[in-house]
Formats: sequence, C-alpha cells, structure tokens
Amino acid sequence: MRLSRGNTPRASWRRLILACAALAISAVPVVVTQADPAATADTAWSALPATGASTLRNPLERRGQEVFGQRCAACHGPIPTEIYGPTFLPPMPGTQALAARYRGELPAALEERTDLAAVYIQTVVRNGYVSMPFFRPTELSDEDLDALVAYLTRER
Amino acid sequence: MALPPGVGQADFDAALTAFADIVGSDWVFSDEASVATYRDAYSPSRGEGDEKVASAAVSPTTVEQIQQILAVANRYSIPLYTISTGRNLAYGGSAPVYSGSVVLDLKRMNRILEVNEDMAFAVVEPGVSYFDLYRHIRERGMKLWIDCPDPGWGSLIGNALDRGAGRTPMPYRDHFGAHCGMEVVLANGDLVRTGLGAIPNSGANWQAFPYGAGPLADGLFAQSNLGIVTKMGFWLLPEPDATMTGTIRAQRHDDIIPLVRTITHLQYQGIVNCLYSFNSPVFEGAINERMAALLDRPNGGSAAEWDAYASSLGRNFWQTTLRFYGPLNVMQAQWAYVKERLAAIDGIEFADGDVMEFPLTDDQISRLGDPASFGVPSLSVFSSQAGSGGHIDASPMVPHSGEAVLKAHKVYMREYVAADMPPSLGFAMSYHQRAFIMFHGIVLTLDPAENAKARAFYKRLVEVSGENGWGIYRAHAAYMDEVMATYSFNDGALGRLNNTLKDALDPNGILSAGRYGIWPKHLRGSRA
Repeated sequence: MRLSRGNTPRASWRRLILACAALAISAVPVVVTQADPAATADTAWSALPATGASTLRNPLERRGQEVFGQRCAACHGPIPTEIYGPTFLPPMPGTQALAARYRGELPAALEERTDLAAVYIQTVVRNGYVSMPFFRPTELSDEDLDALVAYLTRER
Repeated sequence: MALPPGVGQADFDAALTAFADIVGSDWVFSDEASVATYRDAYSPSRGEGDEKVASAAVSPTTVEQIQQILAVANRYSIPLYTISTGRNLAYGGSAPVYSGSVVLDLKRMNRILEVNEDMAFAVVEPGVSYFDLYRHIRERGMKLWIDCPDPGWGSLIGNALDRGAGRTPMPYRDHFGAHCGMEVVLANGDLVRTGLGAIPNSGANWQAFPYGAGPLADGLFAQSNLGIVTKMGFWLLPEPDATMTGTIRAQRHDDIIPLVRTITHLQYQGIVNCLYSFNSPVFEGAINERMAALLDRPNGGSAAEWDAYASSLGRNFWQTTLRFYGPLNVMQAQWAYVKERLAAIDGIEFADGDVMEFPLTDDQISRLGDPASFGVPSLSVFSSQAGSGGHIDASPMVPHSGEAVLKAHKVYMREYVAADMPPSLGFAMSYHQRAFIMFHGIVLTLDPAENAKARAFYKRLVEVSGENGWGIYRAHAAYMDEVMATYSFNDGALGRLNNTLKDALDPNGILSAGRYGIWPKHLRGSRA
C-alpha cells in the first residue's frame, strides 16, 4: 500500500505553481464508461520470494526494507554463491558493478553498507548513476524514498 | 518550467490545473527535478541539446481519469506522450518522441484484473510489470508461466505494444502475438474493446478468440499513437513438467545452410519451439586483420577461405543450443529426431544437456542463471552494460535462410569495420515465427563524441537494413522517422495510410506525436 505523500518542499512548490494557474475549464463532450472497480495497488519488482517477518522495530525502517525488497533487490541483492541451471548473464548487476568498483574495500551488497549518506541515496535514486537508471515518483514515491533512506542509514 | 511547443503559458497552466483536479496535485509533475525523471536514462544524446525531454507529467489511475485528461488536452492542444512503466530502455525509455510533450504516465494503473488458471490467461492494466504478474501467480501457487523480456520491470502491455519478445516457447515469447483482446481509449474519449470484448458480457471468452468479427483493430494500437491501451489479455503457458537442452556443433561455413533449413522446418512442425540462436565461435569477438581482409573481398570471403581461417583457429564454425519443454519422454523423442534429421551434415556433433524439473523451489529460483528461459523475471541483463551509458538497439529481421543470414552477417560486419565500431551483433535469433532477429546492441558511453559515433552508426544500420529488405522490427524513439522511412513502398503509401488514420482518430494530434513516424497534421510539414 502506498503511504500518504508528505508535504515536502518540492511538493509544496508544485502545488503553488498549480494553484497560481487557476483557469476554469469548461467541459468537452466525452463518452465516459465506468471502469472496473479498483483492486489492490500492490506492486513489486523483486522476483524473489517474500522474506520472513522483519526484525526491525522502527516502522519507517521496516517500510524501507520492503521498498528495498521490491525496488532494489533485483539488482542490488546478494550474489548467489552457486548458480542453478545455465547462465545467460551474471545475476545482480548492481552488486556486481559495486564489487568491481570497490574491490572489497566496501561491501558490494547495499544492505551491508553502513557508510551510505541520505543525500547520496536520494541523488542516485532520482538521478541514476552510470548505467543505473533513475526512478520516477510514480515508481518510488518521495515517502518510500524517505523510508528507503531510513532503512539503509539506520543505526547498526 | 518548459512549455510544450506551440502552447502558451496561460493555456499550459490551465491544463496543469485541470490535470491536478482530475488526478490530484501529487500526481501532476511540473517541477524540474520530477520532470527530469522522465528523461531517457539511456539517451543517445544524453546531456546534449537534442535530448528528448518532457515539459510535465500526469499520472492517472483509471480509465475515467484518462478520458478527462484527454478532454483537457484536446481543449488546450496539449501534446501527450503515453508510457506504461516507462522502462523501454534501449528504445527511448520514458522520454517523449516530440520534445516538450506532457508524459501520460500509466504506471499507477497497476491492477492485475484476472488470472485464469483453467483457461491460462491474464488480463492486466498498463502499469503491471512482469515482476508484478510473476509474483501474483507464484503467491497463489498457480501452475502458469509468464513470458518476460530480459529486463523484468517493464510493462506487459507496453512491451507487447512495442512488439517485444521473451525466451519461452512460441507463441508466448511473441508478446503481441500472444495477446488476446484490448481495451482502448480513443483520443475523443470513446472506450473500445476489441475482439470478443466488443460483445457485452463475453466474459472469459474475450481472451479465447482474438478476432471477433470485422476488421481486427488491435494492430492499430501497437507501435503507433492512435489510442491509449488500458487493458490487454495475454495467453499464458501452463507450467511444463521439465526442460532439457541439446547442443549442436557444425564444422564448416556452409553448414549453416542445411542447419537453418532443417531446424526451421522442425520449428514449423512444432518439434522445435524454443528460442535458439546460431552462434559462431569464428565470428565472435573483435574483428581482426584477417577477418577484415576477408570481409573486404567482393563476396565477403568465400566459404573455403572462411573454413581455412576457422581451421587455423581450431574452431568449429557454428553452434546452437535447443531447449525442449515438456515431459521427459517427449523431449527425448524430440531431441532424438532433431539429431536424426541433422545427421547427414558431415562432422556434426551433438551434446546432451541437463534436465531441470518444475516447479522450481524458492531457493532454485533465487539462484537461476538464465531466469527468463523459465518465465522468471530478473534484471540480470544489465550485467551486460556495467559502466556504460546503456545501449540502443537496432534489430533487423532476416529471413529463415542460411544464405540470407550469411549475407546479412557479412553486410553488417563490413559496416562495423567501415565505421570502426566494435561488433555488437548477435548472429540470428528465433524470437519470431518466421524470421530471425539479428540483434545490434550499440553501446553508449558518457562521452558525447563517442555517442555521436553511435548515433551515426545506428542510422547507417537502419539505412543498410532498408536497402536489403531487412526491416527493423522496433525503433528507438529518437530514430522512428528514419526507421519508418525505410518502409517506403509506392512512394510511402504505408505512411500515408498511417497519416489518414491519425487525422481521423486524433484530429487535434494530442497523442504521442511522432511515435513510429506518425505525426499529427500540424507537425507533419516537411516530414510528410
């Protein structure tokens, strides 16, 4: 489920622009048909099975852990120690790329990192980095990004 | 804040306000940072003046909201550009073809409306990704497979509408070919269902028979800009018992001719139905001086000359791996028959592969090295672009003939030599029923000079493909005009038909201007 959107400075600015542009619109004839009733809005990108119950107490960090599982783990999860079946391309390209970059000086799997800064995570998610594409707010909301930051920067 | 071309500030502001009234102000994006997330992450013009960019974005969740957005766009002549999940990377991503368009982002229309295990189909909205549908099916223990392209975060609908393909058996890996039934919002807001969906209360029959009666409308909405697809049905593969592979090695250059003829005929008979590709241990890797010298000859090097070159490397010329899906005894019979049919090729070698049984356990799934071949989505394909700026894909379709693929390969290899580009082509892959894809993944960098070279080379590949009748099956958003220009029979009659349809269905030209070379009348100008 999507968390409600916070009143971030960016969101406020956008509302201000929209509020200033207050021209009324008259209706244009349109054929309108009732769509199907809404079902669950749950979305996930990770093909991995859901993990067990979280041990995290902070709800924001727990949500961040879910967000990582859904939006990050398919690239930045742990590299399997033994591949099952034939190999087309190595799995976990994000973890592979960071392993190549840090050469053991830092953990390649993001969940093992303790040095990540909030602004760095926010910047990479919204701007991308080298071959990592960026993420739109419709894919990963500002609130979920806050939760992700809380999870990856939590005290350990 | 950027404005769409030809739209005044007051009208644009009014349109954005109206969009916010429809979807809520949180789902209209006009601030610079948010709009920047609608760029093409792998733009061939990354950071340069001609990079395609949006002016704003609006993200509805329902058909009614789309209809209301269209009314506003028609009123203010706002160019919209529709995306599903916006992950069509290597083909333009979430960026509009017509720079300055407002992106209509359907990611939030993410409902899986039905998965029918008995009749083996699913009906989804545009924001549903392959990961979403996979997880839905897995969590419910349904014995169904999806077919996914290499990156699993894309939209089933978006990929099918761009006529993408995956890796499981036919017909499922041809995503447009395996769809059945569409719901479409037209530019005037009218809501259409195709096939049996046009019959009220057709129920699951909508996904049973694609044609209905009368003209088949579905094709109008793929690789086009004539409507907004809001639902699609897809046929799914009931989970097979097992899979096994067999590898074939042939020794000589000309062996590709009987190899292609025999294997494609077995494919047409239904004995081979996997995705396979013919690879060459001789052609792989960089083009060295000896290869360049052979390619430079008028015939691109004779069979004897290439065979001598292969012998000097100690390599066999061709290799392909076939995968079978089904009960063990059936797969073994299929493989035995393939070997029997190919046995006449002198020196041919066969190697039996491993058997894998289904269903897979959670642990096995988490360790798969080739997940897409088993209907499991992943993002492993991005391992192929580590450290790069992504790639752009120019993939021509080449006929199922050994002579044709040999000729195409030599023609393209000469182009790589002439342009001094590292070869990045796959030999011949059986994504589709009756033609091979010869995949060219042109690597992008973070260096504008290198990318300029990549862009010129993409255009050259399009040109050469057109000259030889090898149509590009799917265009990058930045080069759709160039690709469509090769489809020029009878002085561009196909383009004229597309324009006629565009003018009839979208007279104000608000939908995805420029997609697949189809421009609204007011932007056609010198492009016509």
